[in-house]
Amino acid sequence: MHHAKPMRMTMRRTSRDSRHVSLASALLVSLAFGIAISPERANAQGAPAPPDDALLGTVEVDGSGDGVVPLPKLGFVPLVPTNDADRLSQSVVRHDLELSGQYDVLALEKSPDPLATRESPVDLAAWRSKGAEIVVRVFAEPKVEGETRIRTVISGEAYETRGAVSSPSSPPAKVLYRTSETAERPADVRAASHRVTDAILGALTGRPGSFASHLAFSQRDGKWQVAKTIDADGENVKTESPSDSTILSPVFGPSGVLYYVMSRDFAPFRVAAGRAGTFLPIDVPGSVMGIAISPDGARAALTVMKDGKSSILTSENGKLTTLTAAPLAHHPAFGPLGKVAYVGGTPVQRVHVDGQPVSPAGFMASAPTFCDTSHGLWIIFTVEVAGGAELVATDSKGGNMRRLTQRQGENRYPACSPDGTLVAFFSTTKTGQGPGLYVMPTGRPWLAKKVSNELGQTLRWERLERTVPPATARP
Amino acid sequence: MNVESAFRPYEIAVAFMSAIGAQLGLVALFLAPPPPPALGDVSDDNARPIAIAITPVALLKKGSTTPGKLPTSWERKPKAAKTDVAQPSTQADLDSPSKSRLDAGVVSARSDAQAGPASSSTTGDAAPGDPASASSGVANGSSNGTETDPLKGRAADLYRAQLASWFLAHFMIKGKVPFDELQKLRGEVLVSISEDRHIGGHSVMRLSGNAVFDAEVEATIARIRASGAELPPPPPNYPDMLGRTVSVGFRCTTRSQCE
Repeated sequence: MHHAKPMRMTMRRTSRDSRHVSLASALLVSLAFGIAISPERANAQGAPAPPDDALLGTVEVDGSGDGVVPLPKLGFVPLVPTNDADRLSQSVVRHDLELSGQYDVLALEKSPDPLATRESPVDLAAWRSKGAEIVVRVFAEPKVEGETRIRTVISGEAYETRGAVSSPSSPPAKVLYRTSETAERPADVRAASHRVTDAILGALTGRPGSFASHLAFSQRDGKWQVAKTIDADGENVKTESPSDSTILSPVFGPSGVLYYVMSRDFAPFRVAAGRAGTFLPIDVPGSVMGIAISPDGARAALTVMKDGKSSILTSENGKLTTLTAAPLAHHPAFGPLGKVAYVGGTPVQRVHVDGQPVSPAGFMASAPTFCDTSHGLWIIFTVEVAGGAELVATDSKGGNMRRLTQRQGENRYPACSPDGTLVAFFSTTKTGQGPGLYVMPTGRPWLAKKVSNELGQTLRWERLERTVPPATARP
Repeated sequence: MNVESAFRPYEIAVAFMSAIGAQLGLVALFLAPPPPPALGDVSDDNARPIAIAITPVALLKKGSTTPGKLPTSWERKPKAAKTDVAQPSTQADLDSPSKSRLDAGVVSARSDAQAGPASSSTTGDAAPGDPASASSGVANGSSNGTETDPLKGRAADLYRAQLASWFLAHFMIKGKVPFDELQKLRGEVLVSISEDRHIGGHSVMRLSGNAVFDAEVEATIARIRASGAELPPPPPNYPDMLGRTVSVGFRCTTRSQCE
C-alpha cells in the first residue's frame, strides 16, 4: 500500500526536495551529456548536406496502386561450408534476411546449384529463372596475421539478376555490392555476420538493417527480477544485472551501458547500471520506477512514484524538470524529431505524444515506443482488449490507427528496431508458434516470427556498439 | 446397593448457587435501562481526514464503460496489380526505360554493366559523392537519367514508392469520376516539406481540367496537412533524398481500383 496521505496533483517541492532535485539534475545531466556521443551521432548532428530537391523526381500517386506489393524474391547461395565460421555466418545472414521482412528468401531447395563453392560463378540467369531479383552469397575465411593471430573475415556479396541471360558467352556475374567484416575471435563471428546483413540491406534499400543489435528486458527470476539482453535474432541471452534484486525498466544508454532501476531488500527503487548493479547517486524524492534515455543520449527521463502518484522528470538543457503531463504519468519514451511519449491519465490511462492523447479513447494503453517507419512516424503501444492485449500503431497525432496483432493471449512491450523496419514484442499466445519473443515487420505484421522462448517486460532495442572498424573489401 | 457420591454436599450447593447467580446476572443485564448516549463532537472543526491509499493500477484496470472500437488486425490485402510506380520488385524485369529519372531500369542496367559501387564497399554503400560511383552512366540507361549510382537509384526507387504509398492513403478518388474519364486525368502539385517532415504549403503545377478530380487533389493535401502526420524518413544512407519540396502527381488508371 502507498503512504496514507492525500494525493496531490502537483509535486510540492520543499527545500530538501529542491536540493535533491538539484543533485539529481546534475547527475542526470552528467549521465545524459557526460558520455561522449558516438562519431556517427556527432556526424548526424553536424551540418547536413544540402538536400537535392530534384533527386526524387515526381512521386506518382496512382489511386489504383492500393494493396501490398509482393516482396521481391531473394536467392541465398548455399555455399558448401569450409569451416564452422563459414557455416555460422551463412546461417546467420540467411536467417536475418528471412526475419527482415523485406525479401522473400527462396527456399534452399530452389537453389540452382546446391553444391556451389565460393569459387563457383554465380549463375544469375538460373536464379532469375527461379524468380530471384537479388542474389546474396556469404562466406567466411580465416585470415592469418603474424604467427598466431587468426581472424575471420566474413564477406557478403549481392547481385542483381536483371538482364541476366543464360549463354556460354555471357560474362561472369558482376557484383552489385560487396562488403566484409572481421571477427577478432570466434565468438565475434555472429555479430560480424549481422553487420554483413545490415550492410547488404543498406546497400539494397538505402536503409541499413538492424541485426547487429540487441534488446534489453526485465524478467522474473525466482523471487527477484533481473535485466537480460538478447540479440535481435533471439540468440545470445545474457543476464546483465544482479540476481538478488528487483530490476525494472532496463534501457541502453550511451556507449551501450545498460541502465535500470533496482530495489534491494524491498527498499525504494533507484537508478543503477551495469552487471554489478552499481547505484547511481541520483537522489530524487520517492521511488524511481522507470528510466528512459533518448536515442542520441542527450536527454533522459525518470518515472518517480511519490505519495501514491507518479510523475515524470526530464533532463533537458541542463535542468531536471517535472514534465507537464496528465495525472499518473509514467513510461516516458523519446522519439525522433524531439518527440516525447508517455502513459498517463485517469481513470483510463492513454498514450500521449507531446501532451496530446493518441491512443484510442476508452482503452487502457501502455508501453509506447516510436517507430520511424517507411510509412511515416508511428507510435506503437499496447491496448487492453477483451481476453488479452494487442499492439496498435498510430501516427504521431493519433490518426491512421492500425492493429498490428490479433491473436490469443497478451502481446505487450513493443520495441522498434533502430532502422524502423521491425517491431519486437512479447506474446503469451498459446497458438501458432507459442509464447515468446517475436519480431514483426512493421509493414507486414503477418510475417511476425518467434525468435525466442523468453518472456519478459519493457523491451528496448539498440544497435551494438562497433568494436572493430569495418574492413574495406574490393572486388 | 450403596453408591458413594463424588461430590460433597457443600460443593453441590456452591455450584447450584453460582449457576443461579449467573442466570440472575444475565437477566439483570437485559432488564437494566440503557446507558445515556455519549454525544461526540462531529463538527467540521474537529474532523480529521481519513487516509485512503489509492493504488493507481487498481483504478485504471477498470477502464471506461464506453470504449470505442479497435480496428481489426491488418489482413493481407489482395496482391495489387503491378503498377508503374517505381518498385524494384515490380520493375526489375522490365527492360524498357521508365519515365522516371531514377527508374529501376537505369539502376539495374548500370549494376550489370559495372562493378564500380562494389569497389567502394564497406558498411554502407557507395556513398553520395563517392568517386567510384560518380562515373558516366550506363549503356542501356534512361536517356534522360541523371543518377549514376545504382545503389542510390535503388534507394530512390524505394523511397519514391514509400512516398507514393503515404500520399495514396489520403487520396480518395475512387468512385468520384467515371473511369473512362478518370484514367485520362492527372494532376500535379508541388508540396513544401518542413524540417520536421510535415507538409507545408503547396502549389498546383498542373490541373487535370476535371473539377471533381482537382478538388480531390486539393482535399488530399488538405487532409494530410490536417492530420499532422510526418512523411516517411529518407533512407539513412541518403538523407539528402528528401528535399524541401516534393513534386507529386495524382492519377488513377486501373478500373477495378478506381471506380
